[in-house]
Amino acid sequence: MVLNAVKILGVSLVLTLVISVILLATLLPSVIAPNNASLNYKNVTVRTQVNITNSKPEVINVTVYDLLNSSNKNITVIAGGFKNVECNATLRDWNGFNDIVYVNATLWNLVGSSYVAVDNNNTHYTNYSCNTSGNGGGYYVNWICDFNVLYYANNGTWVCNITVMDNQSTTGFGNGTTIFYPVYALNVSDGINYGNAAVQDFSNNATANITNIGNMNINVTVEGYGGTRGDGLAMNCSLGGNITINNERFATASVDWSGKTPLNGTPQMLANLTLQKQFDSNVLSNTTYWQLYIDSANNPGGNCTGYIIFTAVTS
Amino acid sequence: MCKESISKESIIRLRGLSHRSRCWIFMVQLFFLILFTAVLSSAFVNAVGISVTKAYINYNDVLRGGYAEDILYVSTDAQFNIPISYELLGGIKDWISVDPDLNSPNVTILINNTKYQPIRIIIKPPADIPAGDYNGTVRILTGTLNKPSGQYGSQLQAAFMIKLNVRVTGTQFLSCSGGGIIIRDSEVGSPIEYYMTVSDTGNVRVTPTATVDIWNQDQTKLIMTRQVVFNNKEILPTTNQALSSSFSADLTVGQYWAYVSVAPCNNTVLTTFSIYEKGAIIDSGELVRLDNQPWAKIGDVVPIVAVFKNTGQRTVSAKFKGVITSDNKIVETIDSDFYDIAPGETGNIMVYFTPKKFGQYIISGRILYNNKLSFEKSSVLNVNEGVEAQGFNWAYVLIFIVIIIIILLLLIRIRRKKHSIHRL
Repeated sequence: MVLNAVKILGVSLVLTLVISVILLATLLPSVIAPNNASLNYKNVTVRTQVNITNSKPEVINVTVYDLLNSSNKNITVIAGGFKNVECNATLRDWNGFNDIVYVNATLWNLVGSSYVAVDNNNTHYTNYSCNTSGNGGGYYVNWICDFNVLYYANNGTWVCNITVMDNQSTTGFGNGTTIFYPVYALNVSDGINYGNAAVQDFSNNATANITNIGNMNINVTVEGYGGTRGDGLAMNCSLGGNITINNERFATASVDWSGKTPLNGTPQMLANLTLQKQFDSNVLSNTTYWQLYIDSANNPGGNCTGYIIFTAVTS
Repeated sequence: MCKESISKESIIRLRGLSHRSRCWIFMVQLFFLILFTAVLSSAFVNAVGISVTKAYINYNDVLRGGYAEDILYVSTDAQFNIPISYELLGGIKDWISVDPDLNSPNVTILINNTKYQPIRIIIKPPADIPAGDYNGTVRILTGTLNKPSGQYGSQLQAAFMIKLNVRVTGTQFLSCSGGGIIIRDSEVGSPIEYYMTVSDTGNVRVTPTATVDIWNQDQTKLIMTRQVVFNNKEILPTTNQALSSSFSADLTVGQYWAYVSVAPCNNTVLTTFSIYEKGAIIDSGELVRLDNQPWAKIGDVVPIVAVFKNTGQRTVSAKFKGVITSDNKIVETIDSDFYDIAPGETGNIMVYFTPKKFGQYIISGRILYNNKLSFEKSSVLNVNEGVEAQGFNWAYVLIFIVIIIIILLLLIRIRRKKHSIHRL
């Protein structure tokens, strides 16, 4: 009887031990992280686990270029018109490129503006409707944002900020830069017409308008000639004779003959006249005032014409 | 006619005058009206706009006796032709040349609102010039912009001063890049045409070559290597040049991949080309992207769309072949039906996938069309909701067996107890 009890107790102990070992071997790893101690007991590897539900979208690269010629990474605005500028952003989302749902872009002048400034044709443009380029793959995709930049946009460094949002409304942003080149552009009115005047008489004031249609302030020089450069004449006449160059005068204000500057064959700066670049849609022009004295010395007869060169120089 | 032209009001006002008189008065009025309009319109000047894209040009690190160039553009909004010319000023004017030669007596360069003029300003410093900074000026002049009427008048011209700064150095540096690499599809036995553009961004001229490693369609076996030369053509500093050449290769019909290395620029490009039977029509196409929803639940049937564009000249029969992987293990292979896609058309090839577990799935594949393979594209599917199907767990089986054994042992013990009680 006692023997049987000892036997049963022994079998039960063995079974309990086996069961414990099996349970430990099978269930424990899934409950407790295995701390694998190395032989010298200095390095311990701990299993950690985190369940990532969403990754923020990232802006990997932003390239800015001329839409009509994408190899032009720097921008030359079009005198008196607008230029199509494109920001091309390479985006990454570890949830897949198709997790990105919305992209907007801000293009601003680094010196004259900031990301948060309001739109201004000189320094700040915003595009709220960028489009995917349609060639996404894996985690990467390109989105493109276009801007119509006006001719008087400031030259210098511009920043294109791309802000990207995914399905979970998490956002990322990144910047690219470009250089807006200076463009020097001049619009001059259609000739100077002195009308009719008698010999040894002064003409009426005639005007010539000059307008800056670039993105740089410019100064202007004037010089004249009758038929060939450096001939010292203001005009050659159809019936022979001519008018010497100092008989043609100019000014930047409406003054009388004595207040005007005699023209000559070498460039003279239009004093006190810097053509500012335009700042808004109200185009500002500058008027120059011209007057001619019909000197009888060289027997001018018939119709007389000459040439005046307006030269734009950097201010 | 005169009668018809006079309004009723005029008739009332002119009542009492003869018809002939009224007609004359009307004609005089009309004459003065036309005259006034002409005078008024002449008061509005027709302005002409001229622009240049650069007013400063810097040439940095130009080698003594070397070469550098830059391009500016001159444009106008005038509807008529305007001739342009140039003047060189400053101490370095002998180093400067302008291309095209705007002062050529044989050719007049004209611009108008539909034709702008690129002007290349070239600098060639003498070989014995000391290193340092040098300045010069190019003045671009237009011809006359108008012809004023009247007895005395001046015609206007516009001009722009372009300031040049040249930094001359005695140190050579080499920098270039090769791009726009194209290997044209060819027919069996014909030479294979090769095209690229090389940009020299250093200050010494380069003589580019290309090494083309040709691999089989699966990119598993290197078939051959070819060296492409361009008749020792030199690319001048600061310039780009398109180059072309051809090489013979005894290749059979099929698609090949080419790893191209451009020397001395050290850039590598992968491209593909095909060899066809003589006279065969060339097929080409592009796997634009793989479209699928980014997020899904377990058990969702997720459509995957392979967007394929047929850029060839005839209809192709295309299918999408790919794999879906998760944790670098293949979960499913994809092999769609064939779809016919017309030339120039973009077709959507759709397959479906039902995820069974949480995780991120990478869908990748190519389009097989008329025995050609496109470049590979991939997309991502994230599965983060739903109930995961449980796998078979041996632990439960073991526990179950142990419980059975314990029950059996207890039953045996009870039976033995009963048996011993009966014997007593």
